[in-house]
Amino acid sequence: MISEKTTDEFSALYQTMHNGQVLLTYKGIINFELVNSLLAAIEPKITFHEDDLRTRKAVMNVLVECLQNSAHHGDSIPASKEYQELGKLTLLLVTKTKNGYKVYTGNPVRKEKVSELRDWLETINVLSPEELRAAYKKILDKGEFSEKGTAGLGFLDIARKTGQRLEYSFAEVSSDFSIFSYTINIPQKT
Amino acid sequence: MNTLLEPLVIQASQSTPYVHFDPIKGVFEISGRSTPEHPTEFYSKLNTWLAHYAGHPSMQTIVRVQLEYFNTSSSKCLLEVLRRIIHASKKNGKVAIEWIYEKRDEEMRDTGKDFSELVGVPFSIVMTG
Repeated sequence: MISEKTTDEFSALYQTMHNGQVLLTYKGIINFELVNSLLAAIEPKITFHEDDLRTRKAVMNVLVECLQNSAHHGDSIPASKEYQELGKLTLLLVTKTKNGYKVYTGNPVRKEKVSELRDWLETINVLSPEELRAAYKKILDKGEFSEKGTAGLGFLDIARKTGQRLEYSFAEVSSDFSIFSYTINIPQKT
Repeated sequence: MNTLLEPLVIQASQSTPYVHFDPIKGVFEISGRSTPEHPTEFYSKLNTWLAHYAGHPSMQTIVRVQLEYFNTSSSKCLLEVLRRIIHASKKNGKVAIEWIYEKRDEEMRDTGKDFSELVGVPFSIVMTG
């Protein structure tokens, strides 16, 4: 079910990211209970490494959104045995880099969500800081939640907090799932 | 003055804020962090309480929001709570909202400005620490 190509890509990315100082790695299904445990595990490390309040908050904010996003997508993986391997492809890696922090996340998403997600990320990636703020306020004002209770603001907020483009890719791994991986650079605030 | 409604007090957890809504004094406090996966479950308790408060609001309601950080799902719920407080308070009194942010946390200060615009009420944006 899982192609060799994808696992090789994961391995290569892992090595690339490993050049920074690894603060946290996690591989496996992320459920909602785990989100809090992982946040509790990493917060003291961020506090130890990072004196700047704004950078610290930006890293924690990004992690909250990434982990909850992974948990929401993980929720859509069927519990049956044939999908067990798929769940294991969820990955989180947080590193300290020379100029800030890097968060790498990969998780399975249903194929029918890919085009919608890609469109949304492309929309976000071309917005200026002012446009991001305006878009955020517009969605916030509407006050609607998706069927899973998510606000649709996560990536928009990440783009605002980091001031960086979202680097992402999709890799097909089964007839109904793709791996959605993305890297977030959080520059040290000055 | 509201003498029938009990205060709403919710202790903070790892992912939910401390809440203290005092209907007698008309002082409402939300502080800490708000990152629950399903914020509507948490904030519905506040909204239910506010529906009762709306029947007999204080002459003056003071709201103090002092959040360290919150997730995007919580932001919608928080906005909804503020709108409900404003709606309830305007019935027979005044409302003042203080948005308190930590020194150097310009993002939280700006979020306060955004919320103020969205609810249509000027906030006192106060720096602390």
